Amino acid sequence: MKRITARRATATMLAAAAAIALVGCSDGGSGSDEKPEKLVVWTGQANEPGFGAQQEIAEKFEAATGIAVEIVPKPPAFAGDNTSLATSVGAGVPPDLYVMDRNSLPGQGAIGMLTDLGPLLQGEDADLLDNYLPGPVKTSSFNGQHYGLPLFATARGLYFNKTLLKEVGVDPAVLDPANGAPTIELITEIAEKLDHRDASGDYDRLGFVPWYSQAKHMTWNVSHGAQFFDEDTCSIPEAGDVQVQTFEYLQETAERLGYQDVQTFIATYASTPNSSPFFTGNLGMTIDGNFFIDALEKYAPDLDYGVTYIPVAEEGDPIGTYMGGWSVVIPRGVHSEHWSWELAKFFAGEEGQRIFETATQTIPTWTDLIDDPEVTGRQGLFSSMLEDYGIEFPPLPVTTPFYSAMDQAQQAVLLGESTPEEALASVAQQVNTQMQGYCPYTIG
Amino acid sequence: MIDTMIERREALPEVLTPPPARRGMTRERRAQVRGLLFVSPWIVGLLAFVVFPIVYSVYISLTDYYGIGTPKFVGLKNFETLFSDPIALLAGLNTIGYAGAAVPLTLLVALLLAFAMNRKVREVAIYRTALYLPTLIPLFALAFVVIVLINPSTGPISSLLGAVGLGNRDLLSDPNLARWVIIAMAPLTAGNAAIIFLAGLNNIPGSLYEAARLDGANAIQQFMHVTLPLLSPAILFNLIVGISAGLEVFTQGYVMTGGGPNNATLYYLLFIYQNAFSYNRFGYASAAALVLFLVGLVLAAIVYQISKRFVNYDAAA
Amino acid sequence: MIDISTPAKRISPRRAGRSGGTRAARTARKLWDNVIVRAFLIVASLAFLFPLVWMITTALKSPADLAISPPELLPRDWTWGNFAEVFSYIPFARFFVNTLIVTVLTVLVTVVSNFLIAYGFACLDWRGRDGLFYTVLITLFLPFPLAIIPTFNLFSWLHWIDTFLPLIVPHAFGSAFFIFLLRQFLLQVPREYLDAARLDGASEWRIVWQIVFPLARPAVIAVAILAATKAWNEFLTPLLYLHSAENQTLAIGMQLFKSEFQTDIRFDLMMAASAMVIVPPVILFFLCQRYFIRGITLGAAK
Repeated sequence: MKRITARRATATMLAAAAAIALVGCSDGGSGSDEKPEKLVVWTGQANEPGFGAQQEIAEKFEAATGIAVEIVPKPPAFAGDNTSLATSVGAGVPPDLYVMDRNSLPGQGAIGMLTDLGPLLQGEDADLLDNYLPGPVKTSSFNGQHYGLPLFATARGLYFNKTLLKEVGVDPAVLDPANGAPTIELITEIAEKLDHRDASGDYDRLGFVPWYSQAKHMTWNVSHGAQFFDEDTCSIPEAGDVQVQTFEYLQETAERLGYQDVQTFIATYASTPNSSPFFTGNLGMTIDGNFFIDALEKYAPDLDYGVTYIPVAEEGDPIGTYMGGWSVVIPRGVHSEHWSWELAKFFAGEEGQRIFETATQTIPTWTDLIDDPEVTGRQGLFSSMLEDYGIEFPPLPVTTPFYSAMDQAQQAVLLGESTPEEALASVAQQVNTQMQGYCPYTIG
Repeated sequence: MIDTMIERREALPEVLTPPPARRGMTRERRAQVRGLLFVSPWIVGLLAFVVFPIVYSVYISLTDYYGIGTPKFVGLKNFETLFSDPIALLAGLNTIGYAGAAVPLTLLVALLLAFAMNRKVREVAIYRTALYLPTLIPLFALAFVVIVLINPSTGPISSLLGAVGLGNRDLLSDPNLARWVIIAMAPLTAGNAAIIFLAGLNNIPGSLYEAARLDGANAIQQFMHVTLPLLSPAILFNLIVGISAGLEVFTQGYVMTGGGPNNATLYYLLFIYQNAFSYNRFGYASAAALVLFLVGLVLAAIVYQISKRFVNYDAAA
Repeated sequence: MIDISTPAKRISPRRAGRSGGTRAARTARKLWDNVIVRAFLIVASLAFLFPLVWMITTALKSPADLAISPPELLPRDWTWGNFAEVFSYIPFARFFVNTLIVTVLTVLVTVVSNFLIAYGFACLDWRGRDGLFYTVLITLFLPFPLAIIPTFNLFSWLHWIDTFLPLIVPHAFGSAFFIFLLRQFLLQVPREYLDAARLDGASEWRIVWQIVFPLARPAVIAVAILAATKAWNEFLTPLLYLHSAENQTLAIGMQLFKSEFQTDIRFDLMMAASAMVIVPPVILFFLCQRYFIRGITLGAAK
């Protein structure tokens, strides 16, 4: 009898636990076209002015439809962090719209986190996607299926301080974009004239640091036209020519300048909020995004600077700029695909982009807006650079792990701990294991 | 060790529980139900947070699972990948390296502090407070403070290193230095261990030292033959707590270095976290977690064996 | 077995028997204690306090003070406004309140559940009790990371993501360490008390709360303190479970200070926020210092 009771007690508890689990598991979500009272947007663009711009888009949408839109900031903890999306979709409580980095978009689409926009696109009269730049549309897809509408694009270029160049006897005109892209050799030559150490042996001025800010493996490799994916073997190359070349260049420069000395220089001259050694005249040239213009206007309004194309490896190599940016996506399992789609079209459509891009000084992906002076008037070279020479990273499902493996590989190369080939082989090994689960697929 | 944790209790005196035959059955039954009821939260917890995780981890580790949809059975593939993944190995070595350096360092500092506080210094309460305060700083905040302390241009520690000729550099951008910075943070939390040692020292009867002195033992011999054996339970406890915390080191790597540079501070738990929650590789991450679990079990068994041989539980009673 | 009933205040030295020996030896020992031990303790204390002091003084620095290189300990321009600015720079008040809610609820469920469970193991006689208690002890040694993914999926099935529940509810099922700690204490409650109360017809529930709970107060407070500091400092679980800005606890909310480039960090505000984060634990520590020490030493007494 005692035993029965004990067993019964245990059984009751087990049953209770199972019941709790079952109730929790039952999914209640179903698509509905009924007009909701409120839509929720999660955005990784959580800083001003972008955040305020999104709130303005939300207000405009409410004025047009009567549906309130709440913008919730979800700053990524690291590049490609979509933990909040994954957990909310997994738990069946996704936001109605999600604003995400295009680098990690294909991966999220590949594992089923996002709604396939195909059926929704077919419901449109004209082919909606023709209004957008083709590159960002392609990187908002995976294996031919569309998952996002591109909200904005970014481009990278070489900023140079004209005053500093003149000081060391270099005519800034040699970097005029009318001459095409400068060669890395030319940039190194100028940089060496600018490098300077103080009495205690620390750098107090550097010409160019090819791994500072937006200058990094991704920018160099994409801009130089690297191949990242072999569709036949469904893998990334062990040692692509461009990738090896980039790492060799970084390694040589790190050895020449002394990697630790440069890191100390960066930490020293960029130690206060919103500072860059480029603002203060301690760094002669730097690779940064078009959005850097905004920071320059704010923090170094008097700086006399110019912008040109990303340096090329050899004289006559094609000009290219790594084009990034963000898109809006509809997470899987939203309350109403219909209304999420209406919001998505508005958000990333002409009106939404006009508001967002004007505020953030990013470049529209809505082609009609790119040359609109009201939107891109302050962009200078960048909007044409993006239209003519923009290159996007291919839509791979493994971009996030690839990116972080490349970050670590870049550090290994800079520190001299690995040869470029070793570092790249290690990246390929890590990424290709993860790639297998998605093969075969096409990058379009 | 476990044996010594359970004290067998003598049955209650008969007088207090006079058992008439029939009521005795019901009473015993009621006592049984009552006992189980009281511990039932723990039984549910055991099922939900111990049994279920073990079973579920084994299952998921045999699949490809991206956190959504149906897990796809792949056999032992995740384990094969894991054992040939140099990053997994590196993460394991980083973790062992951290625990191997930080735990002894912290215990040594704690022992020194405890011995010093055990002397008759009148204002010992002040020191105890000062030495304990850093343990109250949450790790994420401590990480922030260290970031400030070692900033190359405005951090006092960097300036100090620069002043003594070691070079003022960005410590977190060098793999080995970054590892050491994180290890060096550990002794700041030695206050806990020190207080446990101190309590252990207080429990050593003075008469034992007296006896040792009468036998002609010098200070070192007294330490080796009286202090150390009688302090062994406290040492063991601090060692267990230290090692298990050391194997779960996470926050410092997440906050201060993001696992870099060149994966130097990618600790094993961070590796699991990244694979599960940033790469959505739940199957692979579960395989990695299972391996850690087994390593932990083996370690626990080793510690148990050691404690049976070397730890003296009785003398200090 | 160390006598775990030794109250914490006994931590002060009591070694009358040791100060024997010759007068010269005694003088030497005194010198050793007075000078060398003291010097060591003072230096150690300063070293241990240094990060705290630097945190507070940095919190009071102006941007100009922050940029001074080499750095100075004290601000030239005492910027008390930094503390106020933290509240507008990040939703600090919100994070603070969230952390407080989670901590208080965690402490409540921890104390109630562990106390009841420990009572079941220590004050009641039933078959299988010791066997189950062995299991409790074994789970003390189980590495926790294994449970991260399964419990994460469990809570996401329950739709508990982005709520405080995953941070609080697991504590309602007891933790091996606290059960062990409380049981050790409850074993010392004289059985005669309980049996006398039962003979008087008191219900078990009343015995638990009206007789045993007050007796166990010191151990309960120690458990509450340990649970509170742990909940306050928790990093991984809020990182996993809380996503909305309005639900963040301090541990995660304060990551807003970080940015991709270390260059954008507002050190002054980061330190001001950190200083405010440690205020509750420090107050708790000064109010209940001896319970803190008891909690730490109780757990170690095996």
